[in-house]
Amino acid sequence: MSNEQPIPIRELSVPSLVRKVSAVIAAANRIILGKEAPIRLALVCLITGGHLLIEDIPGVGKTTLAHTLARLLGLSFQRIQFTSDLLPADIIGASIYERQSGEFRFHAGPIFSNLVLTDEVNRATPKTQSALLEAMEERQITVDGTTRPLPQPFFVIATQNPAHQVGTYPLPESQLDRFLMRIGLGYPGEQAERGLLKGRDRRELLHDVQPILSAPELMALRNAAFGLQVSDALLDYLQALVRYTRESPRYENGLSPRATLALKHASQAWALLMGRNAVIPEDLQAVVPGVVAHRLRLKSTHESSTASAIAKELLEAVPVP
Amino acid sequence: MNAMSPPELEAQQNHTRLLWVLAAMAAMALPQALHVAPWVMLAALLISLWRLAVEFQGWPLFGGPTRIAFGLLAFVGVFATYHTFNGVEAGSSLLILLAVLKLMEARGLRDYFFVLAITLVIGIANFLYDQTIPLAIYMIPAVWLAIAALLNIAHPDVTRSVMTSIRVATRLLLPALPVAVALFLLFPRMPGPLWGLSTADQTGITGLSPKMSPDSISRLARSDAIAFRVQFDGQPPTRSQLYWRAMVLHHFDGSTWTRGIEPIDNNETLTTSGEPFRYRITLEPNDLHVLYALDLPVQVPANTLLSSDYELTTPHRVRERKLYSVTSYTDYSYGAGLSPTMRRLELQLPRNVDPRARQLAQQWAGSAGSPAQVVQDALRMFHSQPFHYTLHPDALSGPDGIDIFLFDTRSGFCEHYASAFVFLMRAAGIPAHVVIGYQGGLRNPLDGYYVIRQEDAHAWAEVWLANRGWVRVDPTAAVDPARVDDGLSAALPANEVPGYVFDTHPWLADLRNTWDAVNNGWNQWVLAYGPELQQRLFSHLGLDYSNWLELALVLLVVIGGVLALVWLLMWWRERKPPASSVVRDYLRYCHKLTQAGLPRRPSEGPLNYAKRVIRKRPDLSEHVKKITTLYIDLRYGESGNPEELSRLVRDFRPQHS
Amino acid sequence: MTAILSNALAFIRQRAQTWARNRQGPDGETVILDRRRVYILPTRQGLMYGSMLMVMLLCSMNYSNSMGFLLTFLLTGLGFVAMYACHANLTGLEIGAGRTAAVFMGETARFSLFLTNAGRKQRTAISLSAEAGDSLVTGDVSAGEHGKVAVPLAADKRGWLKLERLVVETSYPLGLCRAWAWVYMNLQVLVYPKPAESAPPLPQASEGRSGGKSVHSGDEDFSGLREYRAGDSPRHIAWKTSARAQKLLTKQYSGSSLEHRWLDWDALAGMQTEQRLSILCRWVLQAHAENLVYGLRLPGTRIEIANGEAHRDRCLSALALFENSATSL
Repeated sequence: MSNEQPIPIRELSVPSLVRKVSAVIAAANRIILGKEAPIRLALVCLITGGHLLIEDIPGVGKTTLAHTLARLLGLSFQRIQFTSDLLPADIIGASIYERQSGEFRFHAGPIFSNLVLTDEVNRATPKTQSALLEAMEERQITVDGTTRPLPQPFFVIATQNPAHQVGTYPLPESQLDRFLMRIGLGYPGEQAERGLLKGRDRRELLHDVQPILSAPELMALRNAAFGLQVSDALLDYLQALVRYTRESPRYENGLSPRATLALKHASQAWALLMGRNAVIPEDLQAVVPGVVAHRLRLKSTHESSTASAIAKELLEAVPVP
Repeated sequence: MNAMSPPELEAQQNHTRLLWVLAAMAAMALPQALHVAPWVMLAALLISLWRLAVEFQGWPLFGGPTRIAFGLLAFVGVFATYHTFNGVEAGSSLLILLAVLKLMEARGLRDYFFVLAITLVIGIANFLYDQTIPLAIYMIPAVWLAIAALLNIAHPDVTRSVMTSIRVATRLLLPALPVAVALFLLFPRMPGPLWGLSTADQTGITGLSPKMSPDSISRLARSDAIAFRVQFDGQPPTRSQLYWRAMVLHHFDGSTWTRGIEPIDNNETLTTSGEPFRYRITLEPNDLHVLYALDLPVQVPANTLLSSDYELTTPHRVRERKLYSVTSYTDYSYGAGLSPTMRRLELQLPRNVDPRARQLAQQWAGSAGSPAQVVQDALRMFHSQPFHYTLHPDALSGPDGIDIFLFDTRSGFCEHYASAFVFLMRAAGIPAHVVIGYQGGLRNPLDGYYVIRQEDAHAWAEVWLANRGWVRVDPTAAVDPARVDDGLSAALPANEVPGYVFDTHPWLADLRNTWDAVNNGWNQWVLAYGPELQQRLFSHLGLDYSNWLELALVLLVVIGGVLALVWLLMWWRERKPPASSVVRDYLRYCHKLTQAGLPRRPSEGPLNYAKRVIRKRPDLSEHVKKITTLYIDLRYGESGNPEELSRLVRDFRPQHS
Repeated sequence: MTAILSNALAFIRQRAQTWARNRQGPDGETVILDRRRVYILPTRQGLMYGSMLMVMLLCSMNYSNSMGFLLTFLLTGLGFVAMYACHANLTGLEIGAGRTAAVFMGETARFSLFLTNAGRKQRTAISLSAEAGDSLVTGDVSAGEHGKVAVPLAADKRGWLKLERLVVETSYPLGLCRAWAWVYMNLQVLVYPKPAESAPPLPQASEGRSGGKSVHSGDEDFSGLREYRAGDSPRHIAWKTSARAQKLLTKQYSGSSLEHRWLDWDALAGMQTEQRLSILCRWVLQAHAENLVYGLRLPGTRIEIANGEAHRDRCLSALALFENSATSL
């Protein structure tokens, strides 16, 4: 999340940027019908500079959402379909021996772009997964002793099917932690589904989508969000939530400090989108389902609660101070 | 939080316990050094040092048999020293020795606690020797230390600093003070001891004894200890009238005067004239059955008896400071009719002693016309011949002591003059006896009390004259009138004035007066607080002292009240830290809504709550919005005016829709 | 005589506990020790202190000694204050249940609990134990602090080990009285069977998913080089080394993902139940340590092949709860 080059803020006034974000949401909402909340969360995730994991059963529009966002944000975009025989080199690239020159040359993989969409991330072997996830964390790649930075900004939007499907390698918790958010889409509502049935093909619509936000604008938004005031009272609440996850016997593991930071940043971004100048408990509560659910493992393994149920339970258990 | 790792931790804890208990013991037992036999303190010190060497130098602990042997030795030693186990010195010595011996085998919490409990009992034994202000002041830090030690014995913690221990002890002791005061005032006091006290208990007391031998009073006169204090109601008598009667001595064995057979003669013929003097006496313990009173007591307190000699007697020995009121007449005559038995008693003399004195007396009796003339002859002799008044007379304990005094040394203290004078009178056939008591007293200008010290101890004579009864004659006054008029220091030669007499320096006298006044207040109100004062306090409060049930009830209620108050105070200090005013106001707002049937869920943020409230009660919309916006600004944006929020919340009335 | 006394005491204690249990009811995940559930009684030291006060009082009365009275009453007041302080040391303390790691039979389970002190005074020397007299943990919680403790309890049976009653106690400051509270949280921890000291070797691997050829060499971990054979994947050629060695070398991987074993109850026929479980437990641990892929078959239970910590825990839980009818979650 380091910003090497200062972003020119010139004409990028924050309210206008926020309006642009609203436009992005509206545009995305036209394609993925009736899913405003996940879209907003996804945008918050991207503004915060984090990677996004979309998990749901096949066919609810995960990939479409990822595509839409990529297009609306006008970022360089690569899509990788994960399969069980995908190897790390297929993602990050490899040094290939060139006979003509008699030396190795690095062929950059698809990961070298602003936005990487990795479809069905849990189909690849753990080895391949960890190559991706390491790149996500480090924002650079080291091949044959040479370190190569990834472009800025760099996002990964990964989709995956629920873990208990056959032939999948569920991402371990340590890896899941690297995704700022995990969101689900769920089935569309009646009305949205009717709209889907009546409307044009989503893929076609996608082609018409024009970028609304640029990469520098996204960076400016991030700066604005991180500048938002977070009072001690809110930090108290945040820490109380985190503490509860670390202590309660309901969970196998608590939230990491990375998750704590993620919560803070995401709630700042959420507050920014809500047009506030300070973060309030509601902002935090809004991002909890996305940020927290995939990082917590419930103790009693037989209850596989949904993300929103986990978040709800957590929020109910900890009073707002 | 740390888990126990038993053996090392236990050893460390015992180390802390040992150091604290030794410190507490040292502080508590130090005043005992003035009273118990030196070998006891020395032994305790050596055993303590040994114990420290065990701790720090790895010396061996005493084995079981050695400990038992030492224990037996302690008993034997104490018995050999005091010939009893009863009594404060013997008891204290035993406690001190047993406490240090117990340290040799102390293994854990319980043993150390036991030693500390003994230490506290040793502490209370300090007060059985004396209860002066300096000791009381000394005991404050000592008790403090002991409580800090108790804390460290119960909960040894190597990381706890001495200061922290002291602080915790303070926090416990301060609230205990009001409880202590309430109990002190209200706990029913009973007069008299519960069990017989050994005579050894009273060795600390200096004062008159019921006999007079050469030396007995002059020895007393070297002490400036206070004998009693007097407060006169109204005009006090003149100094020369200040004869404080204690005991009458009838029997002479050649060197010592004793009270002899208690006179049973009781044909009271007391006549008094002049104004009575009313006064209250605070008597220091004298271990006698006798109270002192101004010559001659007439109205005496209840529970006391006036003997035919006008000794004021009490059924119990005076072992605590005692407060009583007496009325006396200084102008009196008594005992006009003397029975033959009494007459024989008052003329008793040992045979074959002091022939020269007898001869002189018979010579006076022959020549004088009346007994009064004989008295005058004797006084004239003391006055005109070179008799000296001195605090250091030559030893006159052998036979014919009176002859040697009258004809050879001619220097002595009041007991010599009184003894010789009564001898002469009896030899001349005039009934006479010795009266011992005190003479004089200094008025403390600060509080108006007269202070009578042991240095004021005095002996004088009474002779029986027909028609007049018993008449006081003070032969010392004939030798040295200053003794009666100005006190001891004026009467004595300059080189004999004891060092304690401060009166030569005015500012020293002031200092002494102040100190006396403080001491007197201490005595009057703290130390003398016993059944009598308690009774006065209770009747002041309108309580019936004789109604035990009522008393017990009041006691319980008051002490319970004090306890409750103390506990409340402690709770108040420890309650949860108060929330900021913003939070308080918001909670008040939530409370108002709760009463209106819209409680906030604990997990609900302010905005969601407001939305829910507005959904249910659109009428409150404006107010709720204002409050919520301001609260959010104040709490999360940290800007805005908190008073505005207070005002809004105060004006918020969700119940009236 | 002492036996009768201790029996009577035990009986009284039993009744008191039953009474308290009925009175308090079960506790939730967090408990605030309010005034009504903190009990207090003098300790042995307290009784000793009381006797000492009696001696001092008698002494003061006998000698009518005012300062003696004052000292005695000061110490009496101190006793009362200490009693209050002891009680207050515990009241208001918040206790929350924490996560407790499963243990193997024969080990000591450490129930983790959280103590929160919302007051403004430090709470000193708070002890927690599974039962009075048991091994306890002691510690301080300063004002506003939130601390973690682990209450030890010996795990001597496999299955669920429950901490029926938690005793929270303190005798701070002077040790004259002991304030305690009984907390009835639903605390439990799973006790796995004791891993056998010596166990037969792991069962042989079954056939992997991708056929017999690569059973013992998956794609996972680099284990060495061998000469290139026709048919080796070009991806596995070690190019750099090949360049140096002037011949093609293939990287060889030893992997686990394609190899799996069944840890089978039936393979241990002729042994006692517990012994079988014990051996299976050892196998599970061994298989996990060697990063193998394995499954577990028990009568009535079958855990599909997988690997990873969650899988290991699932297998161990199945072993712990095997034929343990009194299981509940």
